[in-house]
Amino acid sequence: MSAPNANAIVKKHASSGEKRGAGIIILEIVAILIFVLFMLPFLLVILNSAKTSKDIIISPISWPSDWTLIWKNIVTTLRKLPPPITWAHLSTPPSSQCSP
Amino acid sequence: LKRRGWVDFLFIFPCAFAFLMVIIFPFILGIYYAMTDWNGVRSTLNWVGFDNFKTMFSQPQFLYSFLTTLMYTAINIVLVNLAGFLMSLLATSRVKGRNFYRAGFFIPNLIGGIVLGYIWQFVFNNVFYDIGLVYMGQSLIARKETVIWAMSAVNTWQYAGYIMMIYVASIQAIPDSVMEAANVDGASYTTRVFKIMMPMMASAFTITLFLTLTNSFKQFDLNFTLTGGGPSMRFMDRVIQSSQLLAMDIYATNQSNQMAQAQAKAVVFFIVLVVFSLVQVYLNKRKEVEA
Repeated sequence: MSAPNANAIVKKHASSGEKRGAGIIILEIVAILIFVLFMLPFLLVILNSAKTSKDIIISPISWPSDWTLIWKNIVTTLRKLPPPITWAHLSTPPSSQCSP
Repeated sequence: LKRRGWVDFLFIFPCAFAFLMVIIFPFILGIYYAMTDWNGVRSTLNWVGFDNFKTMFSQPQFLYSFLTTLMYTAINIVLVNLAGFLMSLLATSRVKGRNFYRAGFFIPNLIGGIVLGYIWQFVFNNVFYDIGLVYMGQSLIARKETVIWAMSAVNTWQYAGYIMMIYVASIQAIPDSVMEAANVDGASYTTRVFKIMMPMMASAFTITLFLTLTNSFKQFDLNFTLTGGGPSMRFMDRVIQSSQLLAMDIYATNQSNQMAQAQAKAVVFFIVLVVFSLVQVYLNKRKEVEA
């Protein structure tokens, strides 16, 4: 009596294992989709950092035509940064800092 | 024993002094300012009692912000926890590269709300507009009907990964033998999740619900950068900002040099947040005991 029951359990687990295989593929597809959804805004930031301001407005989701622009944009941004604050800035009275 | 007391005092003093000066003293001073007519500039203060509190409850903007904050908090508690829980099930399943996905889902939480707000503002106003994901021809953050939902979607995107991590830790703490026993007994996956996993994760739910409640209620950075409080709408015959949450309303009041009024709002904000949080923790702890 116990042997057929044991076989039935083994068969049941074997079939559920096959089903789980299909289930895992579905889960993997879901995981990839969620991952893409989570990364999409960052991808857009990278894509648009290799475009001119005009190109970003015209087509925000298109592929950049010239990837070297990314370096030019980074250099432009770094050049716009204010000079680092030094001890001299802090110790100089504000009135003398404002003079041209 | 007396000498030991002095040593203890010396060790505790720096921390206690900092706590008193940075938290307790400004808090008490804030309550005092809330009962004056201080505008941030004048050096003399006049005692006005509860006038600031009475005024705030007659302001359409404050009342609307209060209701919007409650709605925003309720939406976020559901969305963030649901997304976080489902993602944790995914990240603890037998999916290949689950650690990679875990890290990917957590990344939005590593970037500050200010930067994310500006990124998503661009996505809503340019990208979604380009692909036609709009409501009545306008960006989702430009319509009062959709702006709260848009903000909630961004908050869920940012915060679900963090909540997922708490759930993942809790799922991993469940002994394998329990899940295997349920499997052998023929329990389906849904039965195992609802009847075994979730009751055993009760303490994690207490923490995540508390975190989502307080963080959604205190939301400021995302609100400030993504919508700036807009778009405008009419409420109680006044023009108000439709997505201005309570924290941002306090900031806006402060920016208009009504310091005492802003302080009174902050006191009410604090009381409401504490009451809600305590009720939530009390109810969850009771559930934990039942589980």
